[in-house]
Order: sequence, then structure tokens, then C-alpha cells
Amino acid sequence: MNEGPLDIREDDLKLYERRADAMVILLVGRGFYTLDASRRVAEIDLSADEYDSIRYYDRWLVQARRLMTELDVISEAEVEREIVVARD
Amino acid sequence: MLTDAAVGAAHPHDHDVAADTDASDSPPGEYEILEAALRTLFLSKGLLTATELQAEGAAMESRTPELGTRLVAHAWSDPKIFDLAIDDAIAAAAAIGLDMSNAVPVRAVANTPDVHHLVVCTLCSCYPRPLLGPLPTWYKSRAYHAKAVIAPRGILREFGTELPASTEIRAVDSTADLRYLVIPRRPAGTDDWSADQLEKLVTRDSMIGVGLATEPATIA
Repeated sequence: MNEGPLDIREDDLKLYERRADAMVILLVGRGFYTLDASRRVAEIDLSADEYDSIRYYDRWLVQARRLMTELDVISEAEVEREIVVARD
Repeated sequence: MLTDAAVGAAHPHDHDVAADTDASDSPPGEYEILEAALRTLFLSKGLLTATELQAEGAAMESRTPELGTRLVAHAWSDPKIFDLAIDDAIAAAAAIGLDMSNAVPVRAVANTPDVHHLVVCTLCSCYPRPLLGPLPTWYKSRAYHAKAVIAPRGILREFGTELPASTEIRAVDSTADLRYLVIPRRPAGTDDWSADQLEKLVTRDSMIGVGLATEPATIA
């Protein structure tokens, strides 16, 4: 693993990242899924390249989408539909 | 157009509750859109409410390293708080009057001349957020995850922290169920300092273990 020097600059979170944080903390707090389950998505379902190429809270969103659809609480079709709405 | 300003309203910079996106010219990215889509779905299905999201966002904003700073200053001043923090840092924080509701378990590890601790979460990025607030970007990086265990002394050097070769550097690996907070070494010459005074010497980085407590001479 060649990691190069550490980037120790601080980085302000974007608004949607703060929202993602609050959303996931609540979902996990309610017992919809565990942090271990979300790690499974990150480590098994995402390739190493995918894992590295997206931001930290973007990964949280991918995990929430995957795990909440697995639970049948929401469906992929609904997510796709809302994505189209949100893009407008 | 996104319409729900739920968490945004809790952000101190977002005075305009109706402002839904960050003030920037760039169009919303793929994940910003995904966040809006998931939030709309969870709200419309009644899994979460806008009020809850807002409260959670505000709670996150209220968490800052100053909470950890106060705990460390009290641990330095009071052996009973120190011992409690080693066993259960959340209980120790509650004992000095900090609001620790809904906090995940945290244990403190104390640095000595012989052993210096460095906190990492190699699996993801578990962090003692109840006491330190939002986690720094570098803590989430793969480089930090890997180097903290392979070459912790190198990590310290990147933060400008040099320790004698005789000091063992021990990386402690946080998990979803148990996180760690470092109690840095109390600087010499502070024996008669109050907890309030000592707080000024405790930095976030010293509580992660990438730094040391500030020397009193530098803040006099």
C-alpha cells in the first residue's frame, strides 16, 4: 500500500454532508442498521477504487441507500425517482 | 429544486432557512442529489422528521473539542476523574457536568514518559465525537488509517511531534462500539494550575495523540 504523505489540512464540511451525518446517525440510532453493516457495504460491496474515490460522507450515503433498500424500507425505484426530482 | 432545509437551519452560517444548497456557483453534485433524494424519501415515509434532523444537526454543532479539553483538565486535576475516565470517559465527562446523552462508549488512555498513545480507526473512522466533535478530514484518510499502525512515529513527525526513541508509541484502534481519547501528559510547571487554566493547554490533536499538550511558556 503506497499512501504518500498525509494531507493534514482541515476541511469544512459541505451542508449536504452535515445533513448526511445527521440522517445516518438517526437511522443507526433507530436500529435500522448497524455500523458493522455499513462497513460491510464499504469493504465488500465497494471496490477499493470506489472506496478511495469518494468522499467520506458520500460513502455514508451509498451505505444508507444500499442498506435501506435491502431492508425494503425504500426501493431502488423510489430512490431513482427522487434523484430525478432532486436534479431538476 | 430542493425544498427541505431541515438540517441546514442548524448550521450557524445558514441564517436563511430557505437557502438549501451551499453558496457556490457549481451545480449540485451526484452525492448532494442523492442526499436530497434519500432525505425526501425518509421524510415522506415518516421514518424521520424534519425536526429530528434539525435537532441532530444542532447536536452535532454543539460538540466541539472543548468538551474533551475540559475532561482532560479535570482528569489532570482530580485522580478520581482520571481513574473514571480510563474506565469510562463518558461517565467521567458526565461527572464534571458535561451533557453526554446518547454518547457511544469512550475510554481514555493516558500518555506517560514510557508510552504514547495514538488513536486511529483502521476499519472506518470511529472517533470520540461526543468529546471532540466532528472528525478531522485526515483522520478519515486511508493514509492515516494505514500509517498510524505501520509507522506511527512517522505520523507524529508529520504533525511536528518528536518523541524520544525510548518512548513506545502505541496505536489504539477505535471501533463502532468503543472509542478512545488520549489524556496527554500534563506539562511540567503546572502543579498549582486550576482546571480552568489547564484547559488552555489541551489541544484536539493532543487528545487524538498526534500532538502533545501545549507548554505553559508558549501561552503565558
